[in-house]
Amino acid sequence: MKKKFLSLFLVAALSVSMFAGCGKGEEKKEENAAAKNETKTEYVSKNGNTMVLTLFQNPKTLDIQKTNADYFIPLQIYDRLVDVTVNEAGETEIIPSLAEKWDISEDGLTYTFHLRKGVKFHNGEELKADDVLFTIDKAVNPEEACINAAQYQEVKGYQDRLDGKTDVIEGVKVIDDYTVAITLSAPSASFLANMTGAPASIYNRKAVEEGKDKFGFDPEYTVGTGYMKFKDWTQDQEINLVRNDEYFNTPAKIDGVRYLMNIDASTERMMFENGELDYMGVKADDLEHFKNDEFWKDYLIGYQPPSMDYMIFNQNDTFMADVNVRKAVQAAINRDLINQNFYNGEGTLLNGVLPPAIPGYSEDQTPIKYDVEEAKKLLKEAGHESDVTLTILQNGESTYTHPINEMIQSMLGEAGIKAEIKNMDMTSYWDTIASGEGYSISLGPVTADVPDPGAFFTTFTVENSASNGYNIKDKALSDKIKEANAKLDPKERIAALQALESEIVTEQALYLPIAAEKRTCIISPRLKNFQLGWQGWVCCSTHNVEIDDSYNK
Amino acid sequence: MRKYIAKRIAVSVPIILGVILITFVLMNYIPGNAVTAMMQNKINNETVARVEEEMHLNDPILVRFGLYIKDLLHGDLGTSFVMNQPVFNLIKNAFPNTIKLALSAIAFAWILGIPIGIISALKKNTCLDKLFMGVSLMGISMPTFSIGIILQYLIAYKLKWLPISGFTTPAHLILPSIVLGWSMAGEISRLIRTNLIDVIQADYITTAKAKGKSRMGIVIFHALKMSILPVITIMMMQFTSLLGGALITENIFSIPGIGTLSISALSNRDIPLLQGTIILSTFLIIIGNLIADIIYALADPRVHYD
Repeated sequence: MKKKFLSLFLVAALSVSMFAGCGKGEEKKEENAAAKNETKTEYVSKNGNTMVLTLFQNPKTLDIQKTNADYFIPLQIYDRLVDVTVNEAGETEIIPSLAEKWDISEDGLTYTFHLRKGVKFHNGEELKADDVLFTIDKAVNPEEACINAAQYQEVKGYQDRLDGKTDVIEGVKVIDDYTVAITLSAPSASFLANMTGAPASIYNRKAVEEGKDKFGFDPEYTVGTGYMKFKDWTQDQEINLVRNDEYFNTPAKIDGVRYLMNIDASTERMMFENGELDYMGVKADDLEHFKNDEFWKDYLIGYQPPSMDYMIFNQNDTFMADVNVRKAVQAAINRDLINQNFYNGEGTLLNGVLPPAIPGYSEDQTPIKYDVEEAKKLLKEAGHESDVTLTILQNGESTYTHPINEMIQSMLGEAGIKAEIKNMDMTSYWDTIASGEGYSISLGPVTADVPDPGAFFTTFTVENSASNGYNIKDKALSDKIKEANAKLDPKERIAALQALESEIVTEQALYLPIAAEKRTCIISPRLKNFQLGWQGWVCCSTHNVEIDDSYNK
Repeated sequence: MRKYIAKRIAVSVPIILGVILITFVLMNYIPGNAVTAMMQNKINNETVARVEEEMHLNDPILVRFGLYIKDLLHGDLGTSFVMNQPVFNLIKNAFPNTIKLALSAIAFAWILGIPIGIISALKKNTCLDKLFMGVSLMGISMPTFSIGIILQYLIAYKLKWLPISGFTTPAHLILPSIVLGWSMAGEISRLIRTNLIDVIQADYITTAKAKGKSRMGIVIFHALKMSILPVITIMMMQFTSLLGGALITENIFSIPGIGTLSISALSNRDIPLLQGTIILSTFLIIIGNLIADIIYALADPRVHYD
């Protein structure tokens, strides 16, 4: 008797879970057959004229000099001196923002920014040159302990101010209320591009000084000049932005943006389909579902962000220190198969240093060939026929890299390389990368946040690579990279950098670029004039997007 | 009794101190700290070293522990490393949400669990009993995340009866309360059933029956009082553990409670905030157990604490 009932319940429980899995397909068919057009009007949103989005992480603070957890909100509530746009040729271009125009001295050292007049912060204060001085100085003020101080590392007096040797950064001078001159310690081709990044957002002196510890959390003091104003922050729940009607450029069309926090990936999709969210990045697993859906397939948007997946080779590892082992790892990994399995075959395999859409990106690179026999031969040459054991470091919060790493593990196995995957939580992961010990290779994504090729190359300098996981020892190549990057003429600089690409990727095999994934996002039917930012970021769409009221309930 | 309470409270002080020390030592040994948590992919050893210095993260562990205890004795839980706000405020914002969730989950568990336990005991071995016990077994044995995701999918996403996630209206409370309350209701009903079946067979119940009292009267006034006693401890423990935050349920339904706060404190290596949430839940468990014992003594004249 008891067993009978138990089995009944098990059957009931199983069927519940089966419905959960299979229900979709059947219902979809019915819907398709019955009412193709009706579904369109069925979409309703209760969100009014406010765009609702999710945040990947709790931003922790909106003082962007102190966090890298979220750039999206700072990009909307603050402005920078200069901004980025994509021109008709698809190239990124630096355009005026808070600075109406700028002059560069002949030696390339001094940038004089002429500020737009009449720009108001959200607290009513007018933007003055002093606010620019204050912002830059705050970032490098040792008392502030800002993690993003390095945004201004090219500015003269940066190190002295950080070390507490001066009371104010030397390189920034207020000429008059609307003119500020920034002097660099050495000419730099990437300075302007760096000033477009979120950590270069301009603050208001009065608001920050009055707000003290409340700046970054309290909307009264957390003010910028941006097209959105910070309205409120409910801890671990949501952050609301509202339109700034007095924006110096065209104000936004929507009333505001609501950011929901701590939304689980499976929950996100349910919420999106039920009209609770306006945008969602589509993961490879979900793409088929939306593509085959009569209603949703029209709202998919494919795009190519300036990002790539790549593999770090840690030269502190005894095996990876050997160029032949590095080349063997490159040859052992079948990137085509990774592309087919994880990027729907639509990724662009990369053989250089830059991802697409970054100035200097070129498809003419020596291809990295998949060749297991070559890999075995290289290992033999290195004298490591069968004793190579590698540790693949896996970031626990990056779920999509885990199956790729498993595939790489078995590919390496075919070439006779034993590999184990070491999984750790995000903070431990970055700490381990920076320490340079305890791993051989690691797969990760990178997205450019400023439209400049420099940082992709300087990753491979001896100095920088001590933190980013490569631990490169080749001083000569490192110097060549620095020299090429320091060229002032943009064309010359890019040519010089490009000339180093094959040495970095194929001859020295410093890393393995995998692919630039073509990504897909999906938007709610009520969004009109939706345009992702040049980085593929949704935050930059909120300025021009409109909401079709007919879907609102 | 008073002596007993005083003794229990006195014992709790070293327990809390011990928990704080253990957390401090463990946090010292996991890789990464508040600075690496904030820098993430832009990590740079020079900056990490500089900001660590500026935030005094490199001071010897004993110095940091001493300073922390000194502040704590002054009633100051410290300032969050990453959110730059007093830990007390962060907990004060999250705790009401946790209380709301705990109360409604416990209400669900009690309102459902107690009557089901009684009915199952009285209708022992009938179909109804088997059905109830089966459902409660499901609640106990199914992990919260699977119940949560299944209910979320069926009730909120497919049927659209309730919101999928969030914490703004009372309707948002229903699903998470069911998820949390189901397994508790299962435990309660099974315990009550077993105890009640035992008690019903006791001599004094037979006496009461012989006196001609009504069946309902006997169950409610005589048998239930005895059989619910051992359940009280379980119910108090369930309640206090809920107040410490329900990590998985809070995660599935995006509830900004203590669970969410402590998880983010851990992943951000935000030691003061993590300590704050741990002190809170340790304290609650100690107080909860104490209250359970007191109720026990009040309800059962045979129990004394002298």
